[in-house]
Amino acid sequence: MITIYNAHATINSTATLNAYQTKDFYGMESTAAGVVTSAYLGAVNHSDAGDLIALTVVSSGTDDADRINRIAAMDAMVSKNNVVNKQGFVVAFSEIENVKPGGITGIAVTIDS
Amino acid sequence: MVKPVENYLYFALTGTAGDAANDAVCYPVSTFIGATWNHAARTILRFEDNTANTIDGAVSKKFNDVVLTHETLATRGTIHMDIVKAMAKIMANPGRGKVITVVDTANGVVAEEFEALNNTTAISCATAFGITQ
Repeated sequence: MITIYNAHATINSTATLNAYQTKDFYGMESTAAGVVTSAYLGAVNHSDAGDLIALTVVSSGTDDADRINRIAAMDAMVSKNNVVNKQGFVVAFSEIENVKPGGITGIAVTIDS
Repeated sequence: MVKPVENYLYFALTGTAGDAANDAVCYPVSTFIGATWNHAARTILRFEDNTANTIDGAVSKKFNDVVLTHETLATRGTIHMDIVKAMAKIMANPGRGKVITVVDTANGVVAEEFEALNNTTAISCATAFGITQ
């Protein structure tokens, strides 16, 4: 399965369209208020770095609300990365297709180099 | 131990593909790492290099690039996503042990999944394969 991310309405850089093998999904960590960061195996294969996808959710100002929002985003990404279907891909987030699960409002991709 | 059998993806450049070094490449589906934008009319596919795989804890920057040239963003805003989706469908082919021709530029052949994307600009491998042998 291939997981697809589309960060922007116009695909015009390496940070605007990214596809990964679902099996290379390493998990997520909270990295700021209202931000959860996912990691995938990067092409350069560094043992200490991967490609990072920062998922922005609503940061409400209270820790408990933020926790709930973060968990919703994590839950959505786990669901996406566990999809199995005949077509072989799942769109995890897309501005073009308006696929924004789990309250995720935007993503930012950093490719390891 | 039973060796897993899987499909392989074949790509070829223009000219007499296969008669010179790096004219054609063939990679197992499982070595696909990912895909991303390369240019308004190009999408790049990355595969693990034969000398380096993650299981072996290989050194960095060892991967092979296959660049597909296709219709431009200006006339089809979703073209890069459409290419990646078609690639995913090709890789999800339920067969085992096949060599699937994805793009054979020399012979004007593309995989069936690319046919709907092939009308305005023929999908091709117009850029030399980035091979880290």
